[in-house]
Amino acid sequence: MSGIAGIFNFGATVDRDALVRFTDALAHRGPDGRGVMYDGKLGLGHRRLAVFDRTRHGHCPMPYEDSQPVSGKRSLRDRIAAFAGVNSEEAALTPFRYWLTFDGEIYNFPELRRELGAMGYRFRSETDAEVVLAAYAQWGESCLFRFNGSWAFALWDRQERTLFLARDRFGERPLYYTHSPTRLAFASEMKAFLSLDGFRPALKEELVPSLLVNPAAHEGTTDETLLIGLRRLPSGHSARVTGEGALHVRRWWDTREHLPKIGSRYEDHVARCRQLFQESVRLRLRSDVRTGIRQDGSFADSAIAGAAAGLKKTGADLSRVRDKSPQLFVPNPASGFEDGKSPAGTTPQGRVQVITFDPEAVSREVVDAAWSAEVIGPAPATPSWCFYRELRGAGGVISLESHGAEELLGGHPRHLDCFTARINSQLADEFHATRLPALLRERDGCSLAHGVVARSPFLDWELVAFAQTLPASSKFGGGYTQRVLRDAMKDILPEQVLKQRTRARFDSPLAGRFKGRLAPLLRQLVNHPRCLESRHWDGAALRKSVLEKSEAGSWTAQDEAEIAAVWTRLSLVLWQLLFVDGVKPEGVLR
Amino acid sequence: MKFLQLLSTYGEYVREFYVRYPGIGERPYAEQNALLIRDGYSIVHMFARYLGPFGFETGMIFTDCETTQKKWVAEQGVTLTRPENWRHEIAARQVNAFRPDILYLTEPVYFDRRFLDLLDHRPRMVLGWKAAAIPPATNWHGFDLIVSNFSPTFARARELGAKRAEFITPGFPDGLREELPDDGKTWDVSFVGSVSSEHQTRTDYLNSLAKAQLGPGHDFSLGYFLRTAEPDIVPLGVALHNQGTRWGEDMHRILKGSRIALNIGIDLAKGETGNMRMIEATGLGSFLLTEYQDNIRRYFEPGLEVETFRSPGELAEKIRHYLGHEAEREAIARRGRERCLRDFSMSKSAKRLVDLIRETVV
Repeated sequence: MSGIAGIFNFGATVDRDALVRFTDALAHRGPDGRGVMYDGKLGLGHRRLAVFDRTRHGHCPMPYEDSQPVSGKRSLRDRIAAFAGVNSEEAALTPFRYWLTFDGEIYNFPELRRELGAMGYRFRSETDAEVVLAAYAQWGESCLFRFNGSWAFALWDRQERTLFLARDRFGERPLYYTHSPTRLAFASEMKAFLSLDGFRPALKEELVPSLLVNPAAHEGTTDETLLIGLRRLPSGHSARVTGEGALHVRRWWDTREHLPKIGSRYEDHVARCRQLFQESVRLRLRSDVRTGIRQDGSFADSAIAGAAAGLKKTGADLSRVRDKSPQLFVPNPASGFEDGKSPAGTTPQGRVQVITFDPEAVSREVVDAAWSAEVIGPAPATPSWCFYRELRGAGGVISLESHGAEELLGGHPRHLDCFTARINSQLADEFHATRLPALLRERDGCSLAHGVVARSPFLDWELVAFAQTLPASSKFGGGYTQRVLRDAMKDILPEQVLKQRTRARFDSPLAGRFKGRLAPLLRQLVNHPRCLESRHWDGAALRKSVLEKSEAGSWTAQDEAEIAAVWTRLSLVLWQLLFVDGVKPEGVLR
Repeated sequence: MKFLQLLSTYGEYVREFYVRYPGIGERPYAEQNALLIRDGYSIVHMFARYLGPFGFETGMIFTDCETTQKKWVAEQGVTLTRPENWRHEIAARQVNAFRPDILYLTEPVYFDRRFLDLLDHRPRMVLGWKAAAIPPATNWHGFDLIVSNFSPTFARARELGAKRAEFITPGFPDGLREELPDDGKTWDVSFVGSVSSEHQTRTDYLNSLAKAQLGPGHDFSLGYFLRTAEPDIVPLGVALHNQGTRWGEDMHRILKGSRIALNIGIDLAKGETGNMRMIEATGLGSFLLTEYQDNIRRYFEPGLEVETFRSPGELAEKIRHYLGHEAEREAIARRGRERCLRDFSMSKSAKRLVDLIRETVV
């Protein structure tokens, strides 16, 4: 998990200082080190958050040899013996064919490593990044299908003089790029481009109307971003860039092409769900750093904890797992949990660490969260942002979470409005386009802002394909949503947890904050020319409405829809201040 | 005086009846008919069962139960002349055989003037019950009386040819609650009834409750026992909790076994309440939470004998409140039952019906 950046010029050589500035704009994503490499017109940058093999052997950008090894060939370890001690900025002179800058995690890398090792590949590190390189060397672009994980990476082929970019199946790791006749530049986050020489940020006004109607759908339904000239590489896509400046983007993953054949027996669905879910949790427990399970109070969170506990009991292979009994990180102090223990029957595990913070964050934290998350939405991202800050402060690095569970198996009240015959298509739409991509983008921004890695067992591709094949009756029935998962966890989780219907509500009502601690920020935003002169709403009317209600303290929970609409607009104003006008977060509040 | 009631049922009930009692279709007609009566479908409308004490010789025919009805045909050794119209023909033959003075039709749309014209025997009085939509082609010429508890029926009945139309409520059978086994309270909240395109408000309320159940502080058991002829228009929240249709005694056990029994009327009844469910739920001693309608006080006093709601939010809030306040809930349920037994008992409704009959048949 890291920040990646790169510049591929089609004429001039890369300016070293420019690449360093570009890379360091992502310093928050990589507290464990910086790496850059140059190869004439190509430069790669990396900010490292070390999860596997925290030694210097995991340093990125990382090289690999140029051909499949044969028996008796000089081992890679020997060939790079000198490299390990070389400053990577001088590494452009080394003779390796492939160079990788990598953000993400390949959870099944030990298995791939063994497979590649049997073919003669040798490895100098214990990292997944090195396995990505060897896999690419062996299988080319089709290596992507073998990865089970979340990633965004760029791989430079010195021999072909091409740059290969790839993003994971469901968009867990972000990747943005700008492409012109003279260069392609890419980075993990939009904010990095504010430090890219020659990039002039400007709002793409044409996107605003649809954004205001449905901000959650923006991330997953277009490759255009709110910044003119900046695109996102969509989830499940890869791109190849040639030295002549040609860019070929293609979709490498479409879940619909990987749906398994399942029978009609519900009991079989339950058994397969259990198998896939436990395997997903097992893989996602792998790390060399402290790992915990975020417990917001939903059934899906408890299922993760239950599966983890079940793995230990059944003697599953937990090699590469540092924390075999991961703690529960509980972000809601009001949940009834206490430090060190949990109420009987609510969780299969006993070790609990309460992550305490004020959910009614102050204006300053709202700005910081907006800067980190980079998304426009109906509510500030502060609860998550604050949670990850405190989690890292308490020593946590990996947080297993239930993102995607509702979009995969249902569970949100909005699903209950759907007719049975249509629910599966709605869930698939939410998962791939209209809901989850925005949530994942926010999660990535807020967690990596604090050096925390968020993983979700519900985003395992085999589990996703399986769940999207299930009939609606396996997801909804007997009075419960997520039915198949509940039955899959039957002898693992306590009855009380299996019957838990209420969803986690990990936020704080905005109405109170609008008339309280957020009022200063609201006043500043509605008075800003970006708001008053917007072509997308009546700025004067918005200002009047917000100020009147805030000063009268008359916002109530009944104003939920209006509050969401107001914050969507004001978050766009805030976003423009940060990402177009270049105001630093600390400079927004005067 | 002879009183014959022709009772119509849902096709789903008929199918389920013969499944529930395997082999019953082979038994003599009288045995089958007696079991149907005992089974208690639409018992609050089974006036024929309760008119004996008033000096009537009574009979009851389940016109839609094809197996049973055709058993009667076989036993009588008759041949149907119009098999495609067996419901009308068999019922007409049964009326001719029973020779009632009073003929009471609980489905007077299908059994309207066209049916009466098939009869050789002319009863001294024909009456029908209707408290729902009336198709325009209905012909009630020949009907002496239409009874209903739905006010739009009265004027419409006269337009369609009925001589009179009078108010009457269904009646809660004395002793029904005591006859049921004591299962305890198995559901926090239940609803028993139909959902269709004619029940959009009901569907919306039921779905809103399913959504509310996912919110903080609203975890309660919720059972919907629904007849859904149009499953495509049922939202997932309703389908999620649908345990399937229940009839007769099974339905009454659900109502009795619910801490809160919901009632939401058909769209057509906007502004009026008074359906069978209200009578049955209160009579069985359950707390009735019913959609507010302007005429609610004609039946029960809100807040004292039943509770009402006017919005999805109020519905969820009152469920939360009354599940958390058992003594208050049970006190209302007790007073609701007392009111039901006092004003809407079968003996009282039967007396009302007898009075109406005697006004016509001196």
